[in-house]
Amino acid sequence: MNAPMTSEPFFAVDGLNTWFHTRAGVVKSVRDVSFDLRKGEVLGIVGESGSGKSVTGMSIMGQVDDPGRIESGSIRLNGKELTRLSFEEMRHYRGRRIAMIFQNPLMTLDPLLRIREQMFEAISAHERVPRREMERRCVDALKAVGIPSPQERLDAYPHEFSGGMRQRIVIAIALLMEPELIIADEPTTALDVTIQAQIIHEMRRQIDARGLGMIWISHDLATLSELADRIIVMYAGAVMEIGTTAEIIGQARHPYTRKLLESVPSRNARGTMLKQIAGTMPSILSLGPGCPFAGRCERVNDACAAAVPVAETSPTHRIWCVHPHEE
Amino acid sequence: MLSFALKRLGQSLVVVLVLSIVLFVGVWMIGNPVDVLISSEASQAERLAAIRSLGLDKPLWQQYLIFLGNAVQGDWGTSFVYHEPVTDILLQRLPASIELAMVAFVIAMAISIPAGLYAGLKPDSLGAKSIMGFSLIGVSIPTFWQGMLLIIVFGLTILLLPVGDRGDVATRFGITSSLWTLDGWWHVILPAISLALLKMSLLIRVTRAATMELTRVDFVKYAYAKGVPTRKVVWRHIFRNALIPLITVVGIELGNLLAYGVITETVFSWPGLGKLLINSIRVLDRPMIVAQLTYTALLFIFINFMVDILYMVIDPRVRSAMVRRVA
Amino acid sequence: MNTSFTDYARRFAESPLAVLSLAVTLVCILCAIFAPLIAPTNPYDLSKLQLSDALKPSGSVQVVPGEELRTDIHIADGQVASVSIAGSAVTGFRAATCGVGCLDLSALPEGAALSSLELRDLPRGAVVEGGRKHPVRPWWTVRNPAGSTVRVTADTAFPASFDIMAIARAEPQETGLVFLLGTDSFGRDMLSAILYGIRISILVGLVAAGGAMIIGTALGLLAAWRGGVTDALIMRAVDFMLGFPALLVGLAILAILGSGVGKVIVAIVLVQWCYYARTTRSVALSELGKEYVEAARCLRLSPTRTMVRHVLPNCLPQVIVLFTLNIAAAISLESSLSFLGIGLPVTRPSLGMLIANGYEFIFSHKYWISIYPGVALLVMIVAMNLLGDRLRDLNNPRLER
Repeated sequence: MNAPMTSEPFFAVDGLNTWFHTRAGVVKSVRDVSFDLRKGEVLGIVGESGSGKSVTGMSIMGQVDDPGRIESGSIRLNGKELTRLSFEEMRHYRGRRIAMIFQNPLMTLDPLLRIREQMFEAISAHERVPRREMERRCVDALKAVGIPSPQERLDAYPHEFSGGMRQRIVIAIALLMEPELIIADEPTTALDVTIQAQIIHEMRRQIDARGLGMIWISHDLATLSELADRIIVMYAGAVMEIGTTAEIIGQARHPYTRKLLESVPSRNARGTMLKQIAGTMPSILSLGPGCPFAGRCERVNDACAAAVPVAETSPTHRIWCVHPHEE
Repeated sequence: MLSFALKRLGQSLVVVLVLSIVLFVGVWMIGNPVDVLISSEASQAERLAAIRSLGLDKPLWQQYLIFLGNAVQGDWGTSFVYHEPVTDILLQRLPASIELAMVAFVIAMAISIPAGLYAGLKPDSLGAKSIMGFSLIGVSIPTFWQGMLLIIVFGLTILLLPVGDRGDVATRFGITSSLWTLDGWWHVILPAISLALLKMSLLIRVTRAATMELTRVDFVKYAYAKGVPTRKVVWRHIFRNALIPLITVVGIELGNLLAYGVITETVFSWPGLGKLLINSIRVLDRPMIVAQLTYTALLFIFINFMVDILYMVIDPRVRSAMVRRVA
Repeated sequence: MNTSFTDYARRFAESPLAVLSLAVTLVCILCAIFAPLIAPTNPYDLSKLQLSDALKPSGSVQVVPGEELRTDIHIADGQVASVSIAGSAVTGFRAATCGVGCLDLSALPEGAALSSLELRDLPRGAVVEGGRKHPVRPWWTVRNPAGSTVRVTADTAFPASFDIMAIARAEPQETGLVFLLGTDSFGRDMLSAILYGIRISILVGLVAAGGAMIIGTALGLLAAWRGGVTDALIMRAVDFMLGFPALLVGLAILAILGSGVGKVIVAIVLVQWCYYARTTRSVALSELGKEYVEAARCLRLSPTRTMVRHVLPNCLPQVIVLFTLNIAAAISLESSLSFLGIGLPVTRPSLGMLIANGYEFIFSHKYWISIYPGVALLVMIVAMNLLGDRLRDLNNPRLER
């Protein structure tokens, strides 16, 4: 894991709000989320299901499903404001400047098309390249992620590969057009542990080699602790805490983050009960202005029902809490 | 793959055989056709002579075997009514039915698939809602009544298209058909639309349902995430994958086409096999009934068989599964 | 699945279209039940039918042809031998001479409105003023004779006494019955025929779909419980039946069995049972995997009891959806078969038969005979299909947004 770069961030999300206007009411899946990213840096977004982390990813890609849309906020890549772009303009960014890796490798590739076609289409969507050249690039890409005999594998269908191999292919496709930013939405959740380790290792290699920025979305703090340089903790659509990995893992201040850390099973705590966080995430429809974690927090009092202040313990470490932990 | 095909073929033949037995016995039970064909004043001797000439004096199983033997050679007996070989009559009327079915099929596919795709991609639009409303009426409206409505509106009131009967025929490439002449088209268009209407409704609904499911599917979102333009996503990924459920329905619908052709031919006085069947049932022309029903059953089984084969062609996963199963 | 009925009903009512279709369906069922009370006439009462009413467009009035009175009149010396007829529109005849070879014949009472007065067997050479002669016979007819009097003239004098036959027809009376939807070729009131037709269509539909439901569900449960050969056999039969379109199977069965109400119902049951069998079998299979069934088996509860009390209620929502959609399909199938002339008998026409009867008349622009029953049929089927669709959507949790 590298120390975070000290260069300027090339990508910034500022006050992002993505809301779903359903028949039952407005679901505010992402509320006032802000973060930035530097080249060569991995930013991890951690949260439970429903915390809004995937929606954040899709918002950046401009692929929010109906009936949702980006209400307000800005997303800037190299200074260019992405939320103002039309579908067609955004299309030029997708796959080329920003690439995405989805969660379930078994469903990401179209079962009816050969790998060759699916890789070619990622290129031909943006550039006019002769087939032979495309072939060369694809073979190189597959080789780079460690797929054996890539030339033959191009003619194969997705169902002929295991989950881990398919995910590698998806990574290869992500890297094909040499993007600046990769968003990976739980890319290893569906894979078994040994493969997970391989993929993570592979990713890190690529990031270091190419100087990419990566946003890694996960519900698993353990994975992020190995891979990420900085971590954002999200809960019920809002950011709870943000900081470097060392700060989050070692010096977490937010009660929710502490609970998350405690609930990770550890070899050092053999024979003890697994820790859980009591209660369930509140329905996002019924949230008020106060802290969303209030219902499950041990440190809650009346002050938590009002707007949450943000505390800063260091230039990189910020906490949104009324009663953050002290040390 | 070949052995799988052969196995299915064998199964189909068994079904056909069983069916022909059932039909034969069933029709034999209707009653003595001699009573229909000879006036009750005929003398006993005349009745006996008639029975002998029609082969009705032999025991049932013998009649069936004779029938089967002849059938395999292409001789399905002589019609009680027309006094001509059944095969000849069938072949005479066959082209008319085929023309009608073909034109109806093409019209139905050409309209339903784009309509269903559109309704699935934009389900909340006014266009989609009207398409679905139209398909609901189409599914509910009885075919014969809708045929009559078409005759009233287009034949008698507005457009004055000819109603009833086939148009002029011409011969090209050795095939005699009314589709080669303009007059032929003038005559076929109304019954074809009538026949197509019922199919269209179901096809639209199935296409819409498949499209709606596919727009939420991971690999479609992934295709967008790669930056592939919308039109390509729709035709390459959505349409192709939608074909899978569609083929089943089309296969069944093809069968329905032939069945409901009976009604359309009656309403529009189209000289095809359907009208022949109804008339034969009314006058108890046994060889004709058996031959027609068996031929129709044969056609169905053939269509089912073709659908299975088509699946193998389109979906590579099925191909692998089939190969594994047979091996 | 413990959703209460009120909860279910509330979700159902969210779609105004569904509520509308439910209302329409109920109206149709009410029409079917109360047809004899609602219908203005009884269309099957052959004694009440008049051919003169046939093929009248909607809104026309029923008209009873006027009374016809035939009588022989003996005329002697220019006078009518007294003829009096009691209790009819025409009470008698009177003759008056108007000169040589001229006779005024009047029907009594004076000025009675006659639609026509016909005189037969006039003496040779006699002519009726304003009348039309039969091409061959010596019969003369005067339409709407003014003042109910006709004048008979001849070139020569009449014989001293002669006999003629007079046929007086009174003006047709309006009965006050309006044929709201016109009449068909038999003189039947279309509205009544449609109401009775709805009755028959719904009856056949209900019985057929109900029969299919009972048989299909039973077979499905049996297949799930027994498994093995029974299961394989039943499922093969289901696959087989599903491969053929309903109309064709119906045709084949009716070709074999002949036409008639019972046979149509049998045909429809045979076509529809497989849907229920397949659905109940899959639900039953998943239920049978659960522990309470094991427990019941251990307790040696009879299999029928387990199936009926525990498995069956779980199948019910889907079965009900199928039932609703299948009634519509049954009605549609029956009407198609009736239209082709091999379904129900002619004496109690269903809507399909009514449409078939009207088919030949569309070419002479008498559309109403086929159109109105068709509209009724369409509305019924659309309403039931919408209802079934809504019920099916309610059952499918994936569609809740």
